[in-house]
Amino acid sequence: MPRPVAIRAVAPITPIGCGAESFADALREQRCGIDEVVGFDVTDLAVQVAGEVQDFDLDDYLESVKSYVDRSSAFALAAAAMALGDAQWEPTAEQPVGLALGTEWGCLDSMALFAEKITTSNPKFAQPLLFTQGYVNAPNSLVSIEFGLRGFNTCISCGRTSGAAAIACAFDQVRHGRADRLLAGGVDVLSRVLCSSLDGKTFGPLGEAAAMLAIEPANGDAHLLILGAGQAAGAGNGRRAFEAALADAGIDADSLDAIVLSGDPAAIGLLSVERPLVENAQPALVSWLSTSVGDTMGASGAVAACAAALMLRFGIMPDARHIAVVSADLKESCVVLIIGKAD
Amino acid sequence: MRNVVVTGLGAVSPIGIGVGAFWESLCAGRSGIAPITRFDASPFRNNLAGEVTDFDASGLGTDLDDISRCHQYAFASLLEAISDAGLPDAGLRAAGICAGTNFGSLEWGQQHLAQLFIDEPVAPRCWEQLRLGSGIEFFAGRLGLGGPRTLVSLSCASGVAAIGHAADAIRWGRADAMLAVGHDELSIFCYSGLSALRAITPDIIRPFDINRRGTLFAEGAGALVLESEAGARARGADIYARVRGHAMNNDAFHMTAPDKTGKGIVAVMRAALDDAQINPEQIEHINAHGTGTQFNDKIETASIKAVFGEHAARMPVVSMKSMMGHTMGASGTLESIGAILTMRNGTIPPTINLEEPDPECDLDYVPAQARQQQVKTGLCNSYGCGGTNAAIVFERP
Repeated sequence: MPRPVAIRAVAPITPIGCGAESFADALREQRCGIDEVVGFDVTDLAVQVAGEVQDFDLDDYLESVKSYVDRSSAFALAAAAMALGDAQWEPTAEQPVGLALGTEWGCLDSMALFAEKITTSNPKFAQPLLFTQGYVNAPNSLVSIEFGLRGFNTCISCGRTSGAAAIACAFDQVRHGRADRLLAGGVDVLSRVLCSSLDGKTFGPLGEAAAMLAIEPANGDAHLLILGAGQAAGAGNGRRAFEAALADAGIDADSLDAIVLSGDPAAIGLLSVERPLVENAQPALVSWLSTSVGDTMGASGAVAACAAALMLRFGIMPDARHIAVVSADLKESCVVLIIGKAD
Repeated sequence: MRNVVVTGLGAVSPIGIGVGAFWESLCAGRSGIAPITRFDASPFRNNLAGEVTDFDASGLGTDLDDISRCHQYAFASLLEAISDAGLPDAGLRAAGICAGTNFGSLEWGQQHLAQLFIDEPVAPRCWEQLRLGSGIEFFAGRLGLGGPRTLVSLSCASGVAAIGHAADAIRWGRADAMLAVGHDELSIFCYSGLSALRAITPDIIRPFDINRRGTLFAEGAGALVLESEAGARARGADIYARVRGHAMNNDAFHMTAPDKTGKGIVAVMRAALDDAQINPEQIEHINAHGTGTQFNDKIETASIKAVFGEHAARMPVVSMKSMMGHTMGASGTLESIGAILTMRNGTIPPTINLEEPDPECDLDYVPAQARQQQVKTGLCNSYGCGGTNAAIVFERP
């Protein structure tokens, strides 16, 4: 029998705020985190603005100092530390915690550093540390090692929808009883390598973020729930994913109070043109998130899920009970999550 | 909750292109290991690997020129699996896909990353293919797939994890049919890194032998068509196997060093058995991760004994890597195909190059020669860098 799934904690690391309260304040004020890039040299690039998480220091989140971790892993570690702390979870053998993390680009900076070393010097002397830090699943593994997460574990990469797909996956695992406590979300970061490779090829400023939810089977004190998920690709993917998520949640489109759009800005535009995604539905359309934090790539769906959860939790959208999170990829793929308040 | 079955198989491997050739080589104990031709391997401690040879994608469409070698392998294996399944067009349009890869398109990806430092322009496709999701976008677009689209990257456990994710989508009603494909390609990027980790043997690959000194890496792709059992039976599909259950977890121990207690792999095998709702004694065959490294084979053997007790000694435990090498993200799907055909054909492929047994590896590894033996239920193990573990249980219908 499927179990209701509760959101126990919300942990965002974003250009407009790190931590649930800080991010919620920024959402309430619709603050903009797009600014000139200061983390690396962009003077020769056409696009010199992005949504950077400035003044980020992993030491603020961990009890031990790390010698080297990719920025992507550092973000994931910080988000996991916050999520575990807020959820008051202590992973044990009896109550293991797992992780489902989505990323579009993984640890690109470490991969590039490794490529530089083997290109410019003898590949026989390649650096094993850089190599392992460049694995796409390195953030998963480092988070698991740091916090003793021995439960269900997966790393999903499917473009802009990666973070939302990871949450949808985790939702199913908890709902169907394969896992009891999971962290789920997404991460992607800015770097000179990424921005120079994508320079002028994106439909809006890029951003960086990590965002995680702590989810578990709902009990009596649950305030926020994931009610349903839907995923589709190809023609009409937005509408089909939306309808699947609503059916999964067992609610009508009329019950939705808002739709939070995330993912590729061009895909968001296409979805907006397709509106109404479901006939006769008139929910508020929240399309400003990507202009606020930038296109946070594989993290975008998870950032939107955090935003939706906090809008409900802090009453940022008064009287709202159900919010749909739409994560869209320009390559004709869409994931929809339905988040709601518990009765 | 619905039963999930396998109705189609496809393989591109160092020991054969196409499932027929692949299976024939497995049963013959044929090695696909040979000197590397794709890049200069002279700086490394060994120049041997399992390359895919005689692969020709020219008949599959000119658009394949713009996708990487591992994506070509994957696409060819998908086409074979779909044809094998006889999946109707309507079923294909509603189907989803879950791919698994460790490194993806790093031959081209490394060229793109390198040109950032040495200023040698490369084709835009090198960057485009570096993004892991590019493969599933191509496959789904070309095949007209409308269902869920996912890629999982859990280092060398990716292939088994991809089958598991695909099975979940059907089991829990998110799709009626799913394609699962694991793929990876050899490149100087991954080879130099894996060499630096001292995972590569200076010898040949000898799983479970006392003189084993490491693994040899390889490339390829393996694809499976999964369907709901009810749907497959309704259309009269030939069913290879039932996916009984699976699990994936993390050792939470170290990025490269294995946990010598084997806690993580014991847990993942037990979780897969729980998910399959079967007792350990019902497993009749194990396709081991069996990399040929000192630690893996010893820890895996001890872990199998911990899970299966006295029954461990009664089960054939095979390392198909002894023949095709470690195909990384493809290993889980290729070896699952091998395990499924083992159950279907009543032939257990051998572990080759096992000449001098290790007292600490004392299970029945089916050394040297294939064995005729009927098995109904099998377990496949895959583990990877960063402590990733996955296990899956198949059953002959």
